[in-house]
Amino acid sequence: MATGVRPGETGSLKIQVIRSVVICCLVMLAVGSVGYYFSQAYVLKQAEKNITNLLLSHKGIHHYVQNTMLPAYKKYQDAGEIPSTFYAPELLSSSYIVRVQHIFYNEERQAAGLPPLYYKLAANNPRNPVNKADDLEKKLIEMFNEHREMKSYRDIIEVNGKKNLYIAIPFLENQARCMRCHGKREDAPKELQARYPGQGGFNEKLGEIRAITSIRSPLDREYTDIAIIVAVVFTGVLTLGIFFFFNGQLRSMVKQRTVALEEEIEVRIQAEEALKQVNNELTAKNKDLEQILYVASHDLRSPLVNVQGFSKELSRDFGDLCATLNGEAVPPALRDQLTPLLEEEIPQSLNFILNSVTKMDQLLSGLLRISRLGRAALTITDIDMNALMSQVVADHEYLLQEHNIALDLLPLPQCRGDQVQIDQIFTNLLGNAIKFRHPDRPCRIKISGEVTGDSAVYCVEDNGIGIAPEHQDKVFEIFHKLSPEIEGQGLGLNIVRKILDRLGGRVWIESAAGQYSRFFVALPRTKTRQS
Amino acid sequence: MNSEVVILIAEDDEGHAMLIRKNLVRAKIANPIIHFKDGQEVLDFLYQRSKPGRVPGAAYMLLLDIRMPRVDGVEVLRQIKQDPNLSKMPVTMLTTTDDPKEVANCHELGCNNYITKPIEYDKFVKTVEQLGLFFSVVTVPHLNGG
Repeated sequence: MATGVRPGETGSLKIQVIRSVVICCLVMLAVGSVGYYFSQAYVLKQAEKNITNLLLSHKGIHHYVQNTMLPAYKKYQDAGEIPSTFYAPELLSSSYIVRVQHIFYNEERQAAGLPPLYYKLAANNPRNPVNKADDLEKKLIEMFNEHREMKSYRDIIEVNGKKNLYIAIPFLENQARCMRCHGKREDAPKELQARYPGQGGFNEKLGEIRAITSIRSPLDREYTDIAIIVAVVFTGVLTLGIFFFFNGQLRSMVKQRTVALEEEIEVRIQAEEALKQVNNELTAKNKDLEQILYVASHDLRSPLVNVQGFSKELSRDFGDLCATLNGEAVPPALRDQLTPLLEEEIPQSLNFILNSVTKMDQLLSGLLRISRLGRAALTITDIDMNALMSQVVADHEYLLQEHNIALDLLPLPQCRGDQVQIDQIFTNLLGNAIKFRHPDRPCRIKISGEVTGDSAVYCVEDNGIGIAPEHQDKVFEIFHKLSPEIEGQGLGLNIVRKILDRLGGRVWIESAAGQYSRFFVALPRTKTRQS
Repeated sequence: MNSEVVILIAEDDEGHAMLIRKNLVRAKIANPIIHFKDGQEVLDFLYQRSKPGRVPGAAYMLLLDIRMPRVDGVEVLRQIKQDPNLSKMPVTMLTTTDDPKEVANCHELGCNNYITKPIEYDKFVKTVEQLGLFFSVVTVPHLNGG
């Protein structure tokens, strides 16, 4: 089964991806916006607090001037210690004092590495033109006068391309004592009148808020902070989003695979069941066949014994008959009639019968061997092939010497199987190698083996008469003899194959007619480590 | 061989029985021969259930085929060897099977020897002749009375 996505699902996968991306973007947008808003609010609130503190501090100074300094001035004036014409803004004007104080304040800020804060006390009709209210400030003065409950105004404004936090609070309401300097021109101290020509700062109304103090603070740092916070939150959410996305992907992939695997398991289980059934049927059929084979071979033997036995009796008796007739005086005419019968016909018939019976016996013996093969119990052990093969070679020692055969036995790997059956295999193969040697050259046989994967593969090689490709399958057939003139039942290779079927091995041939043959036998390799 | 010994042949196939007889004769064994066609007949004879039956005190030896109808050779062997009166009788199993399991079984039950009828006729003849010689060498014990 192909891994990953099945055909027909790539489409929905794409949709899934797109959907997830869209959702992710929306979520990030929402979170980003919310994060931006909230972090901005927080950060600005902090900045605002600082500025408000400052403004309130300023207001405190204003209060001091109005409530402490001016009454003291009046008192000393009344006491005659200060001339009534005396006026000095450095000593008496709260706006002057605060303005200059603020300049010192900024100088101190810069010395401490902090950015300066812009300050303005704005009025519609200022004494000092520098305090003239601009459009925004005019509006604010109006607003504070209309809405006495409003105590501050806050906004973010852009100045010279930079964002600033702008906070304004209403100045003091005009009190009676303020009227001296801020009422009619004629009422003000002479020195003040001399100092400030014009109507600026005069004609104020009682109870009105004549000015606002405002501070403007640059927000670079704050916005940097906001940016960082938002970026962090953003990244966090993005990461989470990606995580969840992939998590979801993984889950669905795992689910798909699991379902697929479960289905596959189901199919496999069913296949196994079917296989088991077929196996059982086969085993039963096999048993049947073997039984038939056994009984048939056995029961055929009995009459065979008789045929052969009585044929030989016939032979013997016929011999006696011939001897008797030869000794007797038989009329020549009769003898002439009898001779072909006695010397050709009858012996010939007897010969054919006897030969055929011998053949039948051999076939039956072969069949019986085969049937016994299937019934024999197997004892599976680790086999020391070097020892086994040496034994097989030793068993053929006489033949090897008689025909001057050079046999090369190489070191062999171990295998797993039934000792007796494997002995049978190589007895047959070695026997064949000897039997089917080439008449024109000395016979050479080589036995070797090696481990290949899970199998131990052995090779019996000879330089004999070989087997043509079209015959290489047939030689394994029962009773098949390629070379009828060479003695044997035609069973050897059939038995080899049957044994290997039982042991879980294989046999195959490499051969060239007239040149050589190699018989390969593969057996399960031994599980224990080979020394 | 003691000419008294009676040779009992239990063999269902007439041809085989005939061949055995002929070869015994050829081997110059002239002892009386009684032929039984199956295990039941042999047992009836030995247990004197039939007429004529075993003569108490006489010497017998048995050539016993394994595959026979009604009662087969293995069963006959078993009964003989379990009976104290009969267990001393020499029994030779004759058969066409060379299944090692059967051979072991028979030896375990106590047969004296076991011969596969070789189809190789000459061998068969030799084997029976050897049997004949065996008979002539061994003094067959007289069976218990009763």
